[in-house]
Amino acid sequence: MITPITQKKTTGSVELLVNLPNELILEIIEDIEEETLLVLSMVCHRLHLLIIPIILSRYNLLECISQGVLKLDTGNGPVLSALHIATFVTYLKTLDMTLQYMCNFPARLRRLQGFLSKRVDRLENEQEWYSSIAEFLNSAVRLPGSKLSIIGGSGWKTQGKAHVHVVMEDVMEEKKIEKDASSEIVGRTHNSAPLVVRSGS
Amino acid sequence: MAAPATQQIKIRCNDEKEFTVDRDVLERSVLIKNMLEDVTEQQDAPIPLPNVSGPVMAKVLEYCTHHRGEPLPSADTEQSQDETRKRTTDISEWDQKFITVDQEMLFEIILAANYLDIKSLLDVGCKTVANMIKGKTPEEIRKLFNIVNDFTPEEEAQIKKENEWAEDR
Repeated sequence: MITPITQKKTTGSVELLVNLPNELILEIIEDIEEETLLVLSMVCHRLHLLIIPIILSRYNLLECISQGVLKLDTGNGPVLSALHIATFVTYLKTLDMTLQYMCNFPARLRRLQGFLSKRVDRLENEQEWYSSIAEFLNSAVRLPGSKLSIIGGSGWKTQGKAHVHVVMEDVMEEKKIEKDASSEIVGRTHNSAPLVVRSGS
Repeated sequence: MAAPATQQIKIRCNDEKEFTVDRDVLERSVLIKNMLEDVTEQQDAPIPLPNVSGPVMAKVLEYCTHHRGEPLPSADTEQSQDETRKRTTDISEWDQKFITVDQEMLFEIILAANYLDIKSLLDVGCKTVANMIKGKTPEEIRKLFNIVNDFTPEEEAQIKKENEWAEDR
């Protein structure tokens, strides 16, 4: 007899969906938009490891990630979310990022912070790191319509140190203001190597 | 001599269940179509299908019979096929009714459609699963598909945060 899908009891301990071969799971998620993919990536490890790379590859970021070179445009909301929860991105050599001032800006910064904080092992004082980077980024972005670029960053793991170069662009007037944000962020990685994030030049 | 239009083909499933089906219905399956093309002589022995059970094959044949005569996607139309497939999660009314089965049967149909190479049926199955996933929380999806949450508490905390910020994507 035909039973509606939603009312069907689960069949024993058989995990039908996650037991499908990869190619069929990929077939299923082919037409699903990123928001739903994010949710699906939060279900279990198998789906996580399969789906986060799909999200990143939709933005052509998979190759970059595997090389430790990350070029980001925060217009891509799902990407920051995906990176924020990604369990397997453990290595980052360079971060090249353009932050655009927009309504979800604070949330994007929180995700960026969450993502970066995982890349520098355990931080000794997470709160300090959090407030420092927030202060740093907020001080750089004062005007709505201005665009903040963070360029650079090297050797998170090896040297325990990263440099960030900040460029502010006035999007309305289309002129560039090189901003020398004086903020400096000092955190400590697990092996006591200092983490320094400061504006360039 | 051309084969008669209503040539009957016998198939045997992995539970010994046998079906005798019109050739054009069976040829919705690219796998069987290719098998039949390779066979030059009339053959009485049933085609063995070791990856499909009788009840699932009955459903698959129901689908193939309904859609008999419709053009099969071919290699050179794949591009346009892909394009029309994108962005549409629509399933025709008949297909929707047809695919309203329990979860076990749904996944069996998907596996069978993949094995038998019936692209349109595979699409219907996959889209149905995709539609089941949409608009749900991770926990609801786990419950629906009986999936165990195997994230570490630390990973779980990160995911929880991301969920709390979901409004701000």
